[in-house]
Amino acid sequence: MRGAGVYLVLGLAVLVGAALSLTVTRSGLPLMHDLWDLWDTDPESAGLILWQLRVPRMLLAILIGGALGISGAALQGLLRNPLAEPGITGASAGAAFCAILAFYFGFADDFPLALPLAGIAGALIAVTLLYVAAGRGAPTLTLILAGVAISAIAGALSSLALNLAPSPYAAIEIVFWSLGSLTDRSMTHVLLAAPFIVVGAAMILTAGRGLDALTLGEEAAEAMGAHLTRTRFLVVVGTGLAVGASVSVSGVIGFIGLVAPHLLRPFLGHRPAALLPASFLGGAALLLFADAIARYLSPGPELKIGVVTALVGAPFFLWAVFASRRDA
Amino acid sequence: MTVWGAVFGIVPSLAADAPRRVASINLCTDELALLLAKPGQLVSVSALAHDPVESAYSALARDIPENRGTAEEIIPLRADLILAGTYTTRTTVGLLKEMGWNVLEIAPAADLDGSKTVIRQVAAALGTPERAEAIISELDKRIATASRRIAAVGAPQKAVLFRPGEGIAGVASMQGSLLEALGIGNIAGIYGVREWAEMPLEEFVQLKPDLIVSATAAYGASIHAEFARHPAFVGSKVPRIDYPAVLTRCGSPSMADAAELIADGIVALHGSAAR
Repeated sequence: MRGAGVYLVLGLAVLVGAALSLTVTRSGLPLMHDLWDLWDTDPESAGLILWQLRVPRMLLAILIGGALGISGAALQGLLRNPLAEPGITGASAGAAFCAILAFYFGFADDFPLALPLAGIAGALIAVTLLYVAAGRGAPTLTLILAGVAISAIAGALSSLALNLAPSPYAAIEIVFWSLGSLTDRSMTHVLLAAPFIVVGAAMILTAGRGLDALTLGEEAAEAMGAHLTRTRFLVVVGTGLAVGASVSVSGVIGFIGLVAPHLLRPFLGHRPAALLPASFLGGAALLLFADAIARYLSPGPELKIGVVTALVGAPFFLWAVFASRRDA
Repeated sequence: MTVWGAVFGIVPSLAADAPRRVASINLCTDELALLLAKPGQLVSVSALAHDPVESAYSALARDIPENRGTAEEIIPLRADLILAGTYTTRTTVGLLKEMGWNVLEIAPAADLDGSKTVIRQVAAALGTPERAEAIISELDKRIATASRRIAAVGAPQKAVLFRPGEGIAGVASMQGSLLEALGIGNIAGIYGVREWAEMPLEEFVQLKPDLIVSATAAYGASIHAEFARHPAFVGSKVPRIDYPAVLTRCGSPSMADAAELIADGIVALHGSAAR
């Protein structure tokens, strides 16, 4: 059974990534101590760093990487297009815009849940728009253009928020936040995002059979008795919950949702039901490794994780576009 | 949520005595802490504090380890007071407070009066209020002297204070309040600019100010620098005085240095005009 082998490798990758996430320390900063050295000289501080900083960071990398991976696989299945992804479809940009509103116009201070709820609302609006504009097996070009348009709208609104920011300092903070980062998040962030990500991922998983049927085309799927309305609802709402909650905690981290299913398809085939759980694990492993590598490589200023995934993911996207042209 | 701090017993309790170990993770609190702290009290400042382009007091920071504003650097310092800004490193500040560390968030001062309030606020937290009073009376004295020197040669009444690329300083801004303290008329008042406004070069040319004061940043290459090189800006016949932007960025006591540079400039311009 080749599926079992793939899951074994993915599970190992997540474990190794988690171990790296807990142990890798940023280099090149005079005050930054290696965690193991610190354990000898100042075990209390080392304990705080491990439990209050590294553990939430690791959990968020797993949850957010997983959410992005499974959402990418689900969107690719629903839109029957291997180039769909939360970032490219505008879901992340929509979530980021609404989270910025919640942050900088004060709702997040009065009511902590406002942040994930705003992110989810933004992602839901974007995914719904995309589905209306380019759903049901539209050509690749339409999908990408619709995603570009939705991202552009969300980007324009975010720029408006930047433009109207109460001070230059707030503007700089918005820019840095939107680059995407997992640094110095706490258990509160984990607790805020985890329920939405878990529920969203579960909704997407239950859509697996419907997505499998959909690979044969809508009419064939309906003839087989698949409830397409239900499948669409599960994927759109599940993606909105998972991506919205992720982005509201970490900022925009792109391309994980594109890369994870692509890497797994050669091993697991094209059935969405098989790809969905594997893409969760794959996305989690990718983000754990990306975060550990970014931390290890950071010169002076922090290398933002969203910048790292974009630097690797965007060329991958270009390659995927060429590959899909060749196949067509 | 001080669970872990309480378990390990290392998060210092909020004591009434002066803090012994202070860390700062914001440029403007760095500047004040460098001036106000007792020797050995300040254990870390932000990386920007070491950069002479960004900080007015980089020389004082030389021997103090720098941080990049992350919790992993701050926790092992066991600081009993952490100074932060209200706009920067928000997630780190949130986390440190959640863990029970004593974080004092200092809002950036809006104008000269506000900066005195902030100086007193930081000094009170450091347990050095007498230093604040000495610094503030010195600041007042130097600005008053500069103002008298300017008045003696006739203060400009239609000055514009430029932050190149950012626009003009309004009457209620840090730089605008300095002009006011020096008795210099600010053209921004006529145009109803309170904080700051973007000033297209076209409009600037039509404004016909009698003095340009330019807070100039010494970055390597920047869009701001390009603006300052524009012929309309450089070639206008209006006399111009430059001072390093870093002197008035935070509203630190280095405001007095800016005041003296502006006074020197006006006195020199008057001398050359009289000749």
